[in-house]
Amino acid sequence: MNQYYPKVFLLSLFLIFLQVLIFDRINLFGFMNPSIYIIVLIIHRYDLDQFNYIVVGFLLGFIMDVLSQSAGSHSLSCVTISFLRPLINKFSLGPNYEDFSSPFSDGILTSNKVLYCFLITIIHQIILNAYSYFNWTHTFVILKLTIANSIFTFIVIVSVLNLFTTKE
Amino acid sequence: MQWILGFILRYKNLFLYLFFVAVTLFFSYYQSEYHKSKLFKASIFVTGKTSEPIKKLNSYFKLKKINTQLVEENLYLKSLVIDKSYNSKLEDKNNDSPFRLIPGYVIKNDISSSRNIIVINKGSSDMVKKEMGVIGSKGVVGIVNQTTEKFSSVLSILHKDIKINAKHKKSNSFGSLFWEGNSPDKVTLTDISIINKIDIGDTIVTGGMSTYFPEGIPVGKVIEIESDGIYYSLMVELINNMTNLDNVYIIENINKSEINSLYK
Repeated sequence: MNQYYPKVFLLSLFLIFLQVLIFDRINLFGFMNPSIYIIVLIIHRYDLDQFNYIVVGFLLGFIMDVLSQSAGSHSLSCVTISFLRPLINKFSLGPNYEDFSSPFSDGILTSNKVLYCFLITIIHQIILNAYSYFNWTHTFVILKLTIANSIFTFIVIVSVLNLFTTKE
Repeated sequence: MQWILGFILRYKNLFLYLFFVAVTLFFSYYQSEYHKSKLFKASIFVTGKTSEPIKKLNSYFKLKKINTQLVEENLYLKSLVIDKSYNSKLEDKNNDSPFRLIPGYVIKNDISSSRNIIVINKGSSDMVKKEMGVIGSKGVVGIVNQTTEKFSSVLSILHKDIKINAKHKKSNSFGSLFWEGNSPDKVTLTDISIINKIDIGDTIVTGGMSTYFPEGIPVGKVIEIESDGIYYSLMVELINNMTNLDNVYIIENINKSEINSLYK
């Protein structure tokens, strides 16, 4: 446990730099960029205190905001995901999710894992885009970006996680 | 105290989340002008919605003070109207009018007898004297009859023995206004010659021939016209509702004793 948070810290830094230097510049079809840094939030273990998880979520989003000059949208989306994760877990993995230590433990159905990843991705994108635009008149643009970026982010994250688990 | 600590510890995740949301909003406020303006608008909306009931409650408790201020303001405006009306007749427009107003409040008002008396909360200590005119928010109310140190009785316009000099506003023709003792909203104006053209709805104002009232204070509107071949007898509907009088103004004519001395 003592070595877990330094690992999380290093992984966060690595993913943030990847995000800022590479993934924020993809601009697929002119507007699609995957948010891969939320992998930190997705793979975080269940058996740890949620208090620490919320702090991790906020710091992750805050560093992203500072590096990408955004006005708090990453912080808000990450900290909300951290706060809502018990609900997302219950909805996607069932009420007994606390029996497992992480979302990718053996015994969790693939469909549940996929639902879990997709829920986190889409909630993150909704809050991120809605807070970036912060205007009801841009609802259509917010929806378009949310759907497109959620799908793109989901594909990239699932690919990266598959690569990672294959290596193990 | 322990209960509060227990509550905070139980919902520590929620409090932490709200704290970070607040930090994020704070960060947005200083980082982005767009978010700053949007958050500012939202804060104005929330502040407006929450402060409105408090403001309403406060204003309820301030009603007495506001009422006093309004009476003072009305007093000033009525003085201006009287001054203007007085000066419009003179060549030298800078003359001060001889009329001064004293604000008062009706504490007893009768309309049921044929000789109705109103009692007001101003007396000789407030410089109220006998035979001063009294007007309400819209028009004539009566004439001061008796004064004590703190109170005065006023002969209401609804008093059978009172006659007031009044005129038809359009034609300037004078007559005597009195109450016949029937309806509390109707008085009669007589002695206006039939050579003047008078229509239903015309305004009747005070004549200014007496020392009680300045010229031009509204009395009412003509609702019925009768004539005996020489004079009209006009039924006038009073502009003031005599049944719900509150604030009144006592008119002091500083030239009154001088004018009255000429009649002796």
